[in-house]
Amino acid sequence: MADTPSILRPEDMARLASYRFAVQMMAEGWLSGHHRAKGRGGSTDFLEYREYSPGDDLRLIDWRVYARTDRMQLKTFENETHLECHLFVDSSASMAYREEGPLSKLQYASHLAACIAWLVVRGNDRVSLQLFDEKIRKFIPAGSTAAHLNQCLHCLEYNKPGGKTDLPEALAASHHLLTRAGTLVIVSDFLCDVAALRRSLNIFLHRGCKIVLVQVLDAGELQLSGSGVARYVDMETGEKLTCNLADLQEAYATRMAEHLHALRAMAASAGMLFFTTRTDQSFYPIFDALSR
Amino acid sequence: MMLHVENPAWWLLTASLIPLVVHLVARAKPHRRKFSSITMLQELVKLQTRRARPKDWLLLLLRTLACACVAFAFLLPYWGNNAVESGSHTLIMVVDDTASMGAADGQHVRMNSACSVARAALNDLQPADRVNLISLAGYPSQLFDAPECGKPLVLRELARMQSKPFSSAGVQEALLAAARQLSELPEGRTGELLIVSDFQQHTMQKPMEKLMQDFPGLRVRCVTVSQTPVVENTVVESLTLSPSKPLPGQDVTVTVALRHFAAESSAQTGDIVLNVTLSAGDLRLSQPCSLPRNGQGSVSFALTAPQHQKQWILEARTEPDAFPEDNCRYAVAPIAAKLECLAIAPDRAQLGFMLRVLEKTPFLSTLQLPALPESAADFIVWLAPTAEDIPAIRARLAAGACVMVIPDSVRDTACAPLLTDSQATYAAERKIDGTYWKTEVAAKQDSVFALFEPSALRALGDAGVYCRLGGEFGQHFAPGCTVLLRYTDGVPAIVRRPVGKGALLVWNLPITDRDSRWGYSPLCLPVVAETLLKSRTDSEDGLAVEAGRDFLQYTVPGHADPTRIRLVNANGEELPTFIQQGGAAQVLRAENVACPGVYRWLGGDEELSAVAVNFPIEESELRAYTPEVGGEGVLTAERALDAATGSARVDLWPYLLGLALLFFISELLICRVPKMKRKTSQS
Repeated sequence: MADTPSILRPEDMARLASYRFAVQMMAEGWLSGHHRAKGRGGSTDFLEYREYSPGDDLRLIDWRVYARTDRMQLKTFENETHLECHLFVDSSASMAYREEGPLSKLQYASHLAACIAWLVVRGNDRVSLQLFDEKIRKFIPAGSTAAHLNQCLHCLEYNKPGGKTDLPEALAASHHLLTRAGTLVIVSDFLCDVAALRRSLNIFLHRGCKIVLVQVLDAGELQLSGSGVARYVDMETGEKLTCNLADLQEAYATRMAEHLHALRAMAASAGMLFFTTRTDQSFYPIFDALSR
Repeated sequence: MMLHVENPAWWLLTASLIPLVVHLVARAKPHRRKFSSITMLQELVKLQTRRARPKDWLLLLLRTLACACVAFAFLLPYWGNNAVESGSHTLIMVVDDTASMGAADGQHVRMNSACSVARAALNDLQPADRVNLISLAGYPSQLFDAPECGKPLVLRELARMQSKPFSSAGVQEALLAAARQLSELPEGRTGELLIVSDFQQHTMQKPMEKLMQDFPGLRVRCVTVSQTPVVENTVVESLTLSPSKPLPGQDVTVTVALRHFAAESSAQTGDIVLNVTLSAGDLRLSQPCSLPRNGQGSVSFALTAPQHQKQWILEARTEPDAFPEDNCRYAVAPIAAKLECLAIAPDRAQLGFMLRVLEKTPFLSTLQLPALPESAADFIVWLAPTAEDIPAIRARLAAGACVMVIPDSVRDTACAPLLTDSQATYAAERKIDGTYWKTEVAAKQDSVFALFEPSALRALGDAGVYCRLGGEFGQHFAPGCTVLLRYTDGVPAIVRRPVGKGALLVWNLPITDRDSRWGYSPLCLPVVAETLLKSRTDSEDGLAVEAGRDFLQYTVPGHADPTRIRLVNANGEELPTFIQQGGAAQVLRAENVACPGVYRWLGGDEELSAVAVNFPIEESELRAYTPEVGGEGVLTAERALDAATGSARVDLWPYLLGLALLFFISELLICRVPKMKRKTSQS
């Protein structure tokens, strides 16, 4: 990892070194790894005793139990496998918005995704990357090598904002690209219809994916700043809207709060993790939560 | 009844578009902002627009209406009739503000009624009509040189118009000036002369007759504010001193004459008793005075002239009545230590005889002169004047001097013409055969002889006279002449004739080169002195200042600094003056005409002079008359006001301003309602 692209700074790596990407789920991997998997495996973590059945590996018989009880008991251990993390980064035009933060939302999201990718690969897990707007713009299949990580980081570094956002459509399109269930980390501003988002995520939930929603917003999106009359231009559609800020500020803040609340409720009801962060805030609290 | 506007500046109505223009022009230029997604904003704007648009329209409407109301108010709209074409009419208003207009007549003061009538007439005019206001008191004054469209100015002038205690000598001049303005109107313009007055007979009758005579076709509307033909009034008619120029410490009789004017129809009978108060310096005396109704009466006060004053200020006052301004009268009596006497004689020897008498008279300061000087004197003793001296003597008499002339011992050429107003010559009679002419007192009632009773100047008669005017002297005296002393054969010895403010004395006890006894006679001295003193006519005041016509002035003595001389009124308030160069002397002149009262010229703290200005006595008789004018005749104030009220207009501008205020308040409330609701919901 010596030639890590500049999107991942050494100080980030130093800080991330103390973290471990460990989403609380049963992984469904085919490589031996650090993550608990369904069934019994060859890890060092004791799972249970069971009666011997013909065909069982004799090495697993606990002879001490046999000596005491004269019964053939097999000592089973937990199965540990690798984790697949699928990173979805919203790269629509709206993610280029930057008003108050030091970075645009896309830069922030890319930076966050790069950190997650580094952390996943560092844990010998596999990471895939999808950049999307209204469709999948870029897909990097899951991998765990340094070269793969470099490819992901390079892709994130040179990520440019695209066209309109259509998160449900993009998720639907990406479904067949994921060969294995894993952890879906979707980084977006989620300025879309909550019900449609829920519908598009259901399919991943049914596949047993753990979904982490990371909402990246600029402070200027939470509260309309300024005064007087403003002409807003939609960064995705180019539509224009002239309004008096004084009339809208309060209503907008309320509406935004309602939207966040709806997203949070939707995530909670579906067992998803939901984080909201602002571009002027550090994203390490998310890693704190993910490592717990 | 229609809606009219007084100020047809219709362009002002465009001011009602101000809110719209402000909305369009002053609308802030929106700043362009890129935003991630305006979907949410669009939803909110739709919602806001649905709520706010009716309110915005309502606010704009309210603002527009408020501005329209204010703009329309500036057009001075009114509701009323006005059939006359605007701008074609001219009204000259002559408002009587003479002193008599200050009388309370009925329930109103006449001046207030006059101003109400004038205002009502003014309100009937169209905005473009021309108007002028002429007042009568003192010097007649007109607001504009020619009629102008100046209703607001006239209204303002009317608001501060008051009756002035001034002379009404300028009434005729004012009426004729008003008539001339009307007669000079260009063709096509109608004009009317409105005279609002009490039509006091004394002051208005002759000028009105003259007006109607000189301008027969003039359209005149007369409105009288007199409620009654005669207002009962008492006036202090005069305040006289006898003698008018007393010596210090001299006994003085102050006579206050009162007059009562009663309504002819008055049922009251009997005399009126009034309390008269006389103030003389620190002294205050009071006496009741009885005077018949519609008659005159007087009350006398015996005083002693003050010792160390140059001028003695007197004030007589009665109880106030319906017209209180004339219940007071002032007088300033000069007090001189000595009275000036000039002795004029063609011959030095004869002058010496005269001076022996005159210089021994203690109160006389005698000058001996060969001819009459320019300066005035109290007395002139003139020996043997000639016919050429008669005009000079008459001039001095008119100025108030007391002139004693002693006939020419040979042939009189001046004394007889002065007494008879005709040319006459009387030869002197000499003592013949030792016969002496005896004298006897002819006018015993004359106060001169009070000193000599019970003796009847026998000693003087016995003194012997060498020559006198004789013959027919004394047979053709002019009316007013009084023979004080005559010879036993009927020839007058001392004759007195009041002339103007002075008196002429003919001393028919001639001084000749043989008459050495004139100066030695023990009785001659007091007779001459007292005759001179008593013969001074008791004038009310020497140089009366006419209220409202004259400006107070003071000739500054050569040694005095005019900038240090101030004019103050009775209250001690300083009045504005200016310095006028009058020949070699500087004259200080008041800037305003004099009102009744006592004024003092002060040089530092020293009183230089005092002047009394009295109420014009002719204004006191509040007797109205009805002038003969054509048309609808003379209207009473009530009828004039009723007629004006019929076409009275209702000014709408106050209501419009109120409405505008209401709109503004409504707008403010509507703007605040959402905030208040929000606060309530938050709480």
